[in-house]
Amino acid sequence: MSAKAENANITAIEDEALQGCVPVLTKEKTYKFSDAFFFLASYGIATWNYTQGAYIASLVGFKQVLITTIFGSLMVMLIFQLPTILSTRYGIDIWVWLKAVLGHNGVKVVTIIVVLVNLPWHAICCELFSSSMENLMGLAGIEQNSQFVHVLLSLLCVALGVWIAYRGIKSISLVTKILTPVLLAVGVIVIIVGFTSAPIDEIVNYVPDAIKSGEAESHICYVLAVDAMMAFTFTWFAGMGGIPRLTKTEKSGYWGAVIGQGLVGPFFVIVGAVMAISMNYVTGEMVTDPTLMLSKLAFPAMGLCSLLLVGFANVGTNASVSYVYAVMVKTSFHRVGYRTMVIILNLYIAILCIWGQIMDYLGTLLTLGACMQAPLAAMFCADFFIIRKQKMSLRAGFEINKNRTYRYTLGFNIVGFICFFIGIGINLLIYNPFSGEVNIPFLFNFTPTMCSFVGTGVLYLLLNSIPAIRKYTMKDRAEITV
Amino acid sequence: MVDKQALENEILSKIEEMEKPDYEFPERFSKKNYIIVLICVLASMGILIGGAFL
Repeated sequence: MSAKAENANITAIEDEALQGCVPVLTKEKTYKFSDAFFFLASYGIATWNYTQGAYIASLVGFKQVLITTIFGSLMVMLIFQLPTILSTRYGIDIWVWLKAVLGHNGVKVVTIIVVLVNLPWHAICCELFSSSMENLMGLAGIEQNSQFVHVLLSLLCVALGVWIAYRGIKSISLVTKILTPVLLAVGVIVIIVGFTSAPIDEIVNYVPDAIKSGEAESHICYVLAVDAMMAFTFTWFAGMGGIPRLTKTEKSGYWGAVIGQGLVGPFFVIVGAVMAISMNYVTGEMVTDPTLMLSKLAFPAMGLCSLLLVGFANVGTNASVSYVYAVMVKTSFHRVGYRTMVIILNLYIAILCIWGQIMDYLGTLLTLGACMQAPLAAMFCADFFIIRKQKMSLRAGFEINKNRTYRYTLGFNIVGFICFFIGIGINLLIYNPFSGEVNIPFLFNFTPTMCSFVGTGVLYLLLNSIPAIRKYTMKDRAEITV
Repeated sequence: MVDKQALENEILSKIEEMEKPDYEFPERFSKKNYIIVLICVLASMGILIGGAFL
């Protein structure tokens, strides 16, 4: 290898700790609670929060919006975020541990599926960015109806996110430290505008049209609202280990995520709900575009705040997501460089933006994402705390010296996959999200997502209590070295 | 592409560092934190159930 190539390789290896798959040692960790909080809050704040807010507001009244949004998200985050203490402890992403649950090849397959299902959310963000910028142009007197320009604006959102992510974690951290407080401040302004545009009574006593007209049953709508927030929160599962691996203490990584994503994210869902309810009162339509809302309910110049709420928020989210997903996928594809991975992931988002139909699949994506990630989170929690008692073979996780302990059957842990598919089935059996039919009313009360989570976890524990199965899944016990 | 052997060597050296008896792991999640989590989960559950009756 030439000297230049060798130097490049050394730099690439050094990069791999912060932006890749190499474990981060205690002395290398630099993140405090505030760093984790700002980064993950930025991840949690995106335009889809407003769409989610409008959806929740179409199901339940204002008080129930607050309850379902905050506590539906918080409860789920508190539980599934717990095993990320392993990311801090061993400096690894959760997907290294998940090789014990799914098998070495199983993790490759599942991470690719998760990317295919989750990243379209970011194409939706880019679409909403484009629409909002067009509305902003409209306020400035520039009419924009060209589909070509619409796509270009979407791609601008992608490009800006890549530009920040490409520079690495330090660049993203700096941006999120500035962005998150500003977005929080603007979120508060939007809520104030919302509450002052309509009589407070109208907002606090708001009842969705479908319930007022008797078209929908309030109890079913409440459960759907709780389930929607839980599903929304579970879609963050895949990227949960990327930042805690950098934090100095287990609690800073954990609480940074729970408060950053589990509370700040829902705050912006509430912002979306307040916007939708106020706009419904003033205009008769539940609009969630902050540009239109701020210009209509406040004064046109306030529409510029949407530049922050939509523009910068989505760019910040795309940058944060590019990092956590690049780290996640690199767990299985070690040799691909971080920057190359950022480009590949964003190429996928860009293709979806050019296709332009992704908005039609918003509900399907939420359903698929939650259907998959709730069972994964359940197995992860059960495996980490009960089955493996917080100990795994790191040498097997990284296949050091061709260690094949987590290869199981052709690289797949059959037990893990049986539980995974049954978990998905539990969700769909209880409630059909495509037809809106409640198939098992008793279990529906506990929400399909939570039933899937608990059911998968219990099944995984039961199967692993059978001696023959335990022998299959627990071959790593003799190799525990840390 | 990163050199595969160099990457594996780097990962192995980090694991070996963690395997040393004097390696200091990050401060652990304390019992107090687990209790706070449990209280918050139970409180959230209670509020969600109560919210159904609003």
